[in-house]
Amino acid sequence: MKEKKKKRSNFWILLAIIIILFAFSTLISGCVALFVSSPEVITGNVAIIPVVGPITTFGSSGLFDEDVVVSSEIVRKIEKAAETDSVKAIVFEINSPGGSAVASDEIGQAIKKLEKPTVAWIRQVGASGGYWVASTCDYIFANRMSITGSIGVIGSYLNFAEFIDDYNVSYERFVSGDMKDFGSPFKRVTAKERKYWQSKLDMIHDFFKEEVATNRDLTFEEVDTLADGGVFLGVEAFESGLVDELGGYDEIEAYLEKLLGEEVEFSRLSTKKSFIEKLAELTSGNSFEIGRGLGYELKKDDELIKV
Amino acid sequence: MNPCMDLKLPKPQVYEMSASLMKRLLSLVVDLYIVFIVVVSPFSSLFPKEVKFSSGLVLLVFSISLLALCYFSFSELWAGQTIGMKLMGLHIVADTKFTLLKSILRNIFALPFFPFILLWVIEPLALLFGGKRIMERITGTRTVEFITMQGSELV
Repeated sequence: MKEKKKKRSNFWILLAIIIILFAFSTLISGCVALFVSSPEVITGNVAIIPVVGPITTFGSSGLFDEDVVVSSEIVRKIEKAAETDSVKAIVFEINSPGGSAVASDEIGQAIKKLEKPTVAWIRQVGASGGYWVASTCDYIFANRMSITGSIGVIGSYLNFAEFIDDYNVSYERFVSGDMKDFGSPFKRVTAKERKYWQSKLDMIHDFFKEEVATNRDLTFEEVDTLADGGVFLGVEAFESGLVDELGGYDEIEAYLEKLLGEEVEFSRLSTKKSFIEKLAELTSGNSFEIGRGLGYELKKDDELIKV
Repeated sequence: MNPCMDLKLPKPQVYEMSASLMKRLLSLVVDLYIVFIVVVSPFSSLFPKEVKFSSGLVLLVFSISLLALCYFSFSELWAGQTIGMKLMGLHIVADTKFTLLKSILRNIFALPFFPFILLWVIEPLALLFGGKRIMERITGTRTVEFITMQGSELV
């Protein structure tokens, strides 16, 4: 009898533990959600992927750093939209002055692999790398005053050779390989180095022009005449064949409804950072920024070549 | 009326013996399944699709393991057994007073961090070759099963 009573009480104790544990798990998971980024959920049939900010292969942090477009992050979103059966088309909302050639190409290649219709929506700026990305889409919309084009490459940097001379600071050169210290801001650029670097930039420029020509169904020569690095307003880009239509949200909606033959519901894929991640950005990034000196500032820009 | 009382047969004796390895393993499997349903599933929406090391993931894993530790510790402390052990007929027996600290130490393997994660290798080896887990030796506890035998079954 005692044994049976003990067994019964054990059962209730275990049941109570399970119920309390479940309640705690639910409560704690809610608290932990503050610390973990929310996964994106696509509810509509058209995904909007923002491409806002300079395009780069790495992220930035800190309150005062601008938002950047990290190519791996965009590619991840593209893959998510591609995998989601309910998504019938993808819109790339572009507001970017460009950035890394590699990052722009990574995004462009991922867009080309898509088997769903893609639309580029150039907002205020879709220039250089931003236009590279837009050109890979099936259809491009831009506002008549959007800034686009800038089909060119830049690899300029500040040179402090004369500055350090004035302060009796010398650059002691020790290299194996004559071009090894090319790009150092502390030494004068030689004619050979200038020619060398220019050839690299010209090569990338050719890649850029080829991409635009292929994507926009233009000849290389036609693109070449437009590719002096200059910008075009939306209306100019439309006349030159760099953009398909002038318009905004309503026009895109009408275009997609006609294309898909169904009502369009947009769903924005943006990375939702958790509360703690935002707090970490605020503190850690800025602490680092305060600590770094001029020397790091000079070497900061790993993206030596930009489109 | 109990016929045994008329015949004056010896009363059933309860004997304690070390829990078999198979029963211990099965009870652990059942407990892990319960932990999965009760503790892990509320967190399922927070798991990232790509497993990348991040502070958020560490916090997630730590929270889940702490709750799992609570399940094992409090079940053994208050009921003398977990649900898996109850199904397999296993019990915890302590040589001295069974405290919360002892219960936690017994189940510290639930924390998937160094050095506790080493117990996942050490404890099975200790059981296989020594018949007892390391943490059972440290806490002075045993996992046993009770066998009830009628007097007539005694040889």
